[in-house]
This record gives sequence, structure tokens and C-alpha cells, in this order.
Amino acid sequence: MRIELKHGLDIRLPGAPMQRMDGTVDTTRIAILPADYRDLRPALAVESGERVAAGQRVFNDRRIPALACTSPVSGIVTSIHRGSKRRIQEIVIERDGNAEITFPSYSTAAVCKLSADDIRQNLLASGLWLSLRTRPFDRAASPDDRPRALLVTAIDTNPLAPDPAVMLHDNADAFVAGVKLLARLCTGTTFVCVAAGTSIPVPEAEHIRRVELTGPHPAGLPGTHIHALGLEVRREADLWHAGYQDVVDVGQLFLVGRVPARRVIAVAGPCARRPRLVSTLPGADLGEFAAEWSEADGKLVSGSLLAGRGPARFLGRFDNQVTMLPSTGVGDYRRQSLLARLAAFFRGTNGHAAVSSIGAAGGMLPSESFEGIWPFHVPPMPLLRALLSEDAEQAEQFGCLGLAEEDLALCTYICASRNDYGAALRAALNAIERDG
Amino acid sequence: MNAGASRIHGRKAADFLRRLAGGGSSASAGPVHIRSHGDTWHLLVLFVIASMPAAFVGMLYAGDTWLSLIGSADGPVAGWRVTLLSAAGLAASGSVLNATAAGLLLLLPLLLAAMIASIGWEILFATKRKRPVDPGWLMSSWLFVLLLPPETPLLFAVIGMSFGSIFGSLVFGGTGRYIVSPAVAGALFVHFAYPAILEVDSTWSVVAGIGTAAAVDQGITWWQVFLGRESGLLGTPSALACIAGAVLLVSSGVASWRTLAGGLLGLLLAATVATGSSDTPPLSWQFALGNFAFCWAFLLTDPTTMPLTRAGRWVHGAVFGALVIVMRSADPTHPEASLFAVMIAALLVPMIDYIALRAYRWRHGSGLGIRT
Repeated sequence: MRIELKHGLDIRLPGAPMQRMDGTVDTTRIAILPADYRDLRPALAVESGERVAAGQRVFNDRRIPALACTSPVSGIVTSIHRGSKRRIQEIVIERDGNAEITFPSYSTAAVCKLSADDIRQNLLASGLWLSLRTRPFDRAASPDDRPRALLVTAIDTNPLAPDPAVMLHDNADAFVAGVKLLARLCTGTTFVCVAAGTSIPVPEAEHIRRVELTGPHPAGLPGTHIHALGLEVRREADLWHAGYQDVVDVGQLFLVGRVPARRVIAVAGPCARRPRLVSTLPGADLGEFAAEWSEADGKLVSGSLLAGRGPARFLGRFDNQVTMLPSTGVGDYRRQSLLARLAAFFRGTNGHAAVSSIGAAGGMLPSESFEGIWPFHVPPMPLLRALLSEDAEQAEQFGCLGLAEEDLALCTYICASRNDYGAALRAALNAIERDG
Repeated sequence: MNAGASRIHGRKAADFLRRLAGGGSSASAGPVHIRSHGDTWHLLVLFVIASMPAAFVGMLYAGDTWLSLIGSADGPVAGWRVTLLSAAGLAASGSVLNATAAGLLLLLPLLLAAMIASIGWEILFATKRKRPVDPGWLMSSWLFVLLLPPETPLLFAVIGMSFGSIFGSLVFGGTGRYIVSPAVAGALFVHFAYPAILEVDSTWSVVAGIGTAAAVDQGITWWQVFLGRESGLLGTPSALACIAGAVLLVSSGVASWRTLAGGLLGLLLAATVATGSSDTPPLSWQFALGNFAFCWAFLLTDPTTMPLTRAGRWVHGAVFGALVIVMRSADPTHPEASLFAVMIAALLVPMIDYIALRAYRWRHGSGLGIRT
């Protein structure tokens, strides 16, 4: 199946990564960030100073105790940072020793015959269940549900993103096993979304389909895939999606019996000395990447510049890239002459350049450029205006239910009035969930 | 004053200017770390840049007409402008330099008065509401002044701009939220409250008043009118300059070409129907005469009043174009048909959007689908 996207925007930034694995950065510290799991409310299972083994539970959810998060490495919990309302922000683990918890492992043939219950139990115990996220609401999947459709996202169109094919080339067996395993959890079809013409292997099976996508940026987002495949979005969170690295992790867990502790990320951006792909640890301490950057005091963003966290100190759970923005911004237009600004203004809408200058938000100004980057049928601006005016009912009618923050990132990027539509969308989704 | 003090003053002035441009806070906590070129301030500045040719031509004509009337019975009263121009030896009409000087003397005081009024209200509202200053003041005061007759008393400009700023824009929440452009609201207020300031208030166009056929007999060609012959309002004489401005706005992605095309389409359809009936001028003259081109290029395209759907933009423009013809035919004695048409078209935008969205829902169902 092939889907061609005509509308969207590829933002071109300096420092695109060379799509080749080059080196390993094994940091001495890693951190688990509960905020990555959105509205999970952690109940800690470890204390500061305690020793943890790889695969040992660090916290679980207060509401659904079966949802557990485990440590990817063996080491000592050095500190637990709390923010406002004593919300846990970072659980920092210093790597030490090789203690690890083993899980049952299977041969490639046996993996395909496992029951859905066995798979679920193993995923919950190992903490890898948390790699499954739902639409609507984009949060951790509930262990009691079975999804109507599962989307494996093996395409990345974010600016400066790594090519999934590079990582999957070295982990083809684990990826294929992971897809087969997750497909068994699903009552409907499992869609593996890849870029057109890529070498990513997709298992041949009745309920597994390969979806090839071409086109500019939102082509790589699960929100786009759901709508491109014509899946109906319902209030029940029964559409699931998982990233390619997480699927590889699931495969590894069942084939090897250990919680895998590797991430392939792109180190890229205008400040990167050698923009490329490196292998590192999940939750790696980004402070130990200092040698990668040509500037010391830039803004470090974990994740893509359109959907990342910054300034970041640790690699986020679902992030596949790290970018540093120069402290001066990328071509900050306030420092340019009027003529240069005008020229940049014309270029900006064509996606050849971008800046990082952010002014105060004002009333939304509609413009034709919103439609140019919007891949869906329904016009974007009524949805955006409903979101800004906190009209959740209207927003749901215009289709906000199937979207997440990242799907509106391009709208935020091109918006002249500097509104953050992602935040407005989250507020609307919360209101929809609260008020039913 | 020592160097340090002047540097502090300089920084204060720079901060003030940044505040007027809507700047101030620049921290982003959201997940989007880059933003495209061109914020609201840039967008609105583009409108000013785009309307500069129109303003320049208008200024030339206003200046030249004004100079030629010095000394005549219904000409300008001897004031500081005449004294200043005579002292500089620029008081004779017929030269571009003199006309420019006179035009500047007419335009700049009005612009200054309108800007002071609108900046004052913006700052007052921003302070009271504890919000950043709305950057809309520049575009609204500039376009407002271009919609005034050249010899409008400064006090009237201040009153009109104050009305436009407060009741056109600020009570609705400023740029991006108002319903009718503050420039249109202010200009209509002045035209109604003080009709005596209009040069001609018995017809929407002198040429149309005598009839286009008669005008051609008198040696007035369409091209003269198109390039700018009638000096009505400060910014409106040249339709060509307005087209140039519209091209700039569309090419920079600020204005929608659909709105503009819809406007021409509406004008075409309505004029085709109207031409047969009475002595209304033909289509090409309708475009070139009066203030249609100016309103079409710079007021109809106001991003704040832009419909949210593509179909809505066509309809919005077409409603404007058709209304202009209807009003000109039905009541040829009033000069502001285009201003009214802009206002009514803007008031219809929410309804147009509502209908367009119902149509989308009917065609594509409730969910989001991919455009291919």
C-alpha cells in the first residue's frame, strides 16, 4: 500500500546528520523521566541510594499498578528530582555493575506461537509495555485493552531526523520478531509505516501490512498515518502506535531475554561538530555529549525541533535525535537588515530556512500558508481557532481527537501570531476526556 | 548629559520601540523550538510597504491639486503649509518636487496625529490588560490616513483614529480578533461625522458623475484614470499602484489570491448585470474609478478578517465586488461604497465560514482524511 502526501513542509536546517552509524556514547549516568509517559502518576519502587539491576522496576502507575517502568541499566539511584507539587521529574541512575533481571527467551520460530497473554505479561513485567501509545490522547496503552489497529512507525520525517533504515539494518531480526509479537496483541490489522523505497523488512502475514509513504514532513507522524489509512477515531483509546526502536526492543526482549539498553540517535543541528548517528543509552545524560557541540551555551533539545524538550539534560524516552540550537538562534531575523528580512520572509514560507525567534502570542492571523502545510481534507484554521478559543466541542467536530501535539507542530511553526497550537490541543483533549 | 546616561536613554528608546512592535517576552516552553520568519509585526509592516506606491501617487496628486488651488476662491486657506512652501520657493504647482513637498506636508501631519492617537490607545489598553502592545497600530493608522481626504483637520484624524482603534479593534481584543478593520471603521466614522471635509460629497466619482462617455469626450482616457487622475482620498488615486501592492501581498503569502480573484469576479458579474440598466460606467472604469482598487488590495485582504476556508475566501471577495456595484448603482451620491462593501463583507465572514464548513462536512464526513 502506498500513500502519497502532497501537502506539508520539510524545514531545511543546517547540520543534517550523515545517515551512518558512527561511534558510541556510553554515558555514566542515565535518567528516567516520568513526564515522558504523559499522565502516568508514578509510585516509586526504589529509593535514592538504592542499587537497581537492569530490568528492575523503578516505579509503577498509581492508577494502573500493572504499568511499570524499569531501569534499562544496572546501577545506583543517585538522586530523585522533584518539581512543583512534588511531581517527580528525574530519577537519575549512575551506571555500575552488570546485575540484570532475565526474562524468558524464545527461538525465532517459538516467538510466533506465543499467546497474547504471555506477550502482555512479559511486556508489562519488563516495562516495555510503556512503549505502546494510544490515539486518541497519545498516552500509555491500557493493559486491559486490545487495539483495533496497531501502527508501527518506521519512518521519520522530522527536521534533522535519523533514517530508521540505518538502525533497522543492524536489527532486522529483532524488528521482524517485534512486529509479529505486537501484531498478536491486536484484534485488527498491524500497519508498518515506512518510507517509500526503503529496505526495512516487514514480515509477511495476514494481519500485517506494509504502508509506504512519500511526501513532506507530516508524512512520518502516526497521526497522519491513522487518517491516511482511513481508520475511524473513536473516544475509546483503541488505536495504538509504537516507534521502530521500541519494536526492536520488544523483539530483543523475547529473543535474548534481557531488557535492551541501546538507542540510535541523530546528533545534529547547526552546532553539531559531526552531525551523524550514534549509539547511546536510553535516557542518556546529554551533558556527556559536550564534545559533540561547537558551542557551549546553546539550547539543547531532546527530540526533534518541532516536537522536542529543551533545554534538556537527559534523552527523552521516545526521542530519536538530539539537536543543539545556537544561543543566537538560527538566523535570528531581528539582527538582520530590512532587506534581508524581506528576502527571508519570502523564503521562509517555502521551507528553505527557519529561525528560532519567538515573540509574544497574539490573536490568530489566518493565512494561505496554513493550508499549504496541512495534509487533511478539513480546513485547518477552523480547528486551530476552535482550539485557541477553548471550544473543545467544535474542535472535536473538526477532528482534533486523532491528533497529538506533534501533528500541529508545523502550524505552530508557521503561525505569524506565535500561538502554540499543541498546548491548546492538549487542553482540548483533556477537556474532552474530563467532560466526556 | 554624559555618555552613560545617553546610552541608557538609547536602550530605553529601543525597548519602547520593541514594545510597540509587539515584542517583549520571547521564552518558549512548548515543544516547537523553531518558528518561521515573519511574525504579526512583519505581516502588518508588509501591508505598509505594499501600499507605499499607492500612497506616493496619491500624495503627488493631492499635493499638486492643492498647490494649484492656492490663491483661488475655494482653495486652501493661508496657513503654515503655504507659508512654509512659499518660503522654500516650492509653492508653484506643476512640478513633481513641489507636489511631493506639498503632499508630504499634507500626509505626514495626518499620519503623525493618527499614529499618536492609535499608539496612545494601544498602550493604555495594553497596560490596563497587562498584555503586550498589539502591533496592529502601524497598519491601521497608515491605512486610515490613506483613506482620508488630504485636507482633513488633524483633530478629525485623531478622533477618527481613536474611534477606529477602540471600537474597531481594541474592544474585540486587537489584531487577529477584530471583526471590521479599524482603518475602515475609523475612516467611515470621519466620513459620516464630518462629511464637509470630503472634496466631493455628491457623487462617488467626478468622472462617473459626468458619465464615462462624456469624460472620454473631454479627453479623459481610461489609462489616465487607471494610473491615477482623480485625487479623492490620499491613497486611492492610482489603481495601478494598488495592483502592484496586491501582487506584493499575494507573493509574500500574506494576502489570499482567492479573495482578490473573488473580488474581481464579483465586480465582473455585478457590472455585467448593471451595465445594461442605467448610465453606470462599464466594468473597466468601475475598477479604476473611486476607491475600489485600494479597498480591494489593502482592506479586503486584511488577514484578521480573512475567512478560514478557501471557498469562503472566494465568496468573501465576490460579495465585496458585487456590493460595490450594487451600492454605486443604487446610490451614486455617496463616495464610500467600497468602504461600506468592505465592512459588510467582513461582517458576513463568520456566516460564510459556517456555510463552507457545513459543505465540507457534507462532502468529506466528520473525520480527517488525507488530501492527495
